[in-house]
Amino acid sequence: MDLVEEIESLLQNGSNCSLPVLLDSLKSVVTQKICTTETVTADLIDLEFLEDVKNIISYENIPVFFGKTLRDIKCIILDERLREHPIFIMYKGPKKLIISSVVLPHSPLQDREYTSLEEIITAFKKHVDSLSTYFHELERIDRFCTIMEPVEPTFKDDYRRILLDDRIWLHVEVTPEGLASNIHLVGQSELWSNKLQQGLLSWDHDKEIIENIMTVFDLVNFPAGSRKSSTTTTISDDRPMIEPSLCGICLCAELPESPGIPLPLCPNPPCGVYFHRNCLFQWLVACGGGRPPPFGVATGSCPACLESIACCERDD
Amino acid sequence: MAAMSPSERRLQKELMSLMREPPPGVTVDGDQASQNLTLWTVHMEGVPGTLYEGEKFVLQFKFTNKYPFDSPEVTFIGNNIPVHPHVYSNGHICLSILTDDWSPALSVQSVCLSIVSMLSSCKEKKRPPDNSLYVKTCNKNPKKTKWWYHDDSV
Repeated sequence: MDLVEEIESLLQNGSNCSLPVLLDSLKSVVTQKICTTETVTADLIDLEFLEDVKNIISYENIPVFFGKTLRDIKCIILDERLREHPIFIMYKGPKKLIISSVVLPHSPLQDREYTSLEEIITAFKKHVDSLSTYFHELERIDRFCTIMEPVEPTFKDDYRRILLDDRIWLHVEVTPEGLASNIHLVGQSELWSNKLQQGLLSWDHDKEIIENIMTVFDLVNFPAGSRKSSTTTTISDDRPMIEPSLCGICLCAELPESPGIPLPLCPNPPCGVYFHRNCLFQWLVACGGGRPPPFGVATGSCPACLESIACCERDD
Repeated sequence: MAAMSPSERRLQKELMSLMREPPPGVTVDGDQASQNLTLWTVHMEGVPGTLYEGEKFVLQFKFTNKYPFDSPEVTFIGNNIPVHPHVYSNGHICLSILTDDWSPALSVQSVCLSIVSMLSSCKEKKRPPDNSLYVKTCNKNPKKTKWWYHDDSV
């Protein structure tokens, strides 16, 4: 029987045995063939790597999945609260493994090469443990607030934009230590911005971020937005599932060339048309003759309702 | 295929929605427009009950790569140019949203609707008073004309 057929039959019969057993039988088939034919070279199947995978599954008890090819691997690391953190790994060659992606904020651990799966698991287990406050804070925010951005928040995104009312969002970034930073409002409102100015002075880093936000803005609970309600209530509800509003200028939601999603930037309440900051800025600058506006703030009239509007180039 | 530019992306979206849900009496030549996104031909029928009932008109839209920041160039083409106080016999249209009052929040669909309503509200079929002079002296591109908007009522 030829090698391919043998492996095929193994895979077909392998449905009722566990992965470690299958790997063992694969190994024995391959070593046998290598000995007898000596034409199959070791780079075809990296036995050391298979051993590594087997160890991770049986001794570390970490689930390992293969992707489209046997070079794409996914491991799931559980943290102390049993949250699942997938790590996507690519096998580049013997003793050469790289991280293709993780659902964690960027860390230098992603940029280096590893010699074994075990090394990756050890490094990331430690990393995940160090982020436990970070996960906790984000989880609490996601549970109690309506998140306007990112569209589908994960632990990879270290910021949240929280709905305060239909025109004002609160931007909060969470540091790896689980502390809030770069807190500011998106949208213009004197009322909310006065509260924030006052509240930032008494921000208590020993308390949870969510608790601080509620104290600062004097909230009992957070307003529910269309986005949150569509995930918590029935799906058949209405169409606007996680569909963000489109920009009134480019008619798109998310753009490949510029970050950010359309925002209710027009201060005229009945208007309600969303724009990408970048699209609106470009239009207001063009209307003003094309020269860069003073202090980076372009003014003019809203493309939709013609009321006065101002827009700064960057969102800060 | 190369990635779409922002203007192509927007035109593509507008074309899809105009083909899917065209306003009454308006049809876009989808095949031609999808061949060349910067040149559209739109067929328009005179609204029943108005002076233009039963007539058929053809509009041409030309877009630059700055669209929607730059307004489209819109003219009537073909044999039947509507006889209307704001439409010159060469097909140029005197409509403020096509030049000074253009806004990127407008679209092909809203321009079509404005033109339909401009035609529909007409009380007397006649050419603009300065038609012969204008047609002789104007630039081929109506956007180069410094328009004097006759009235705001239509």
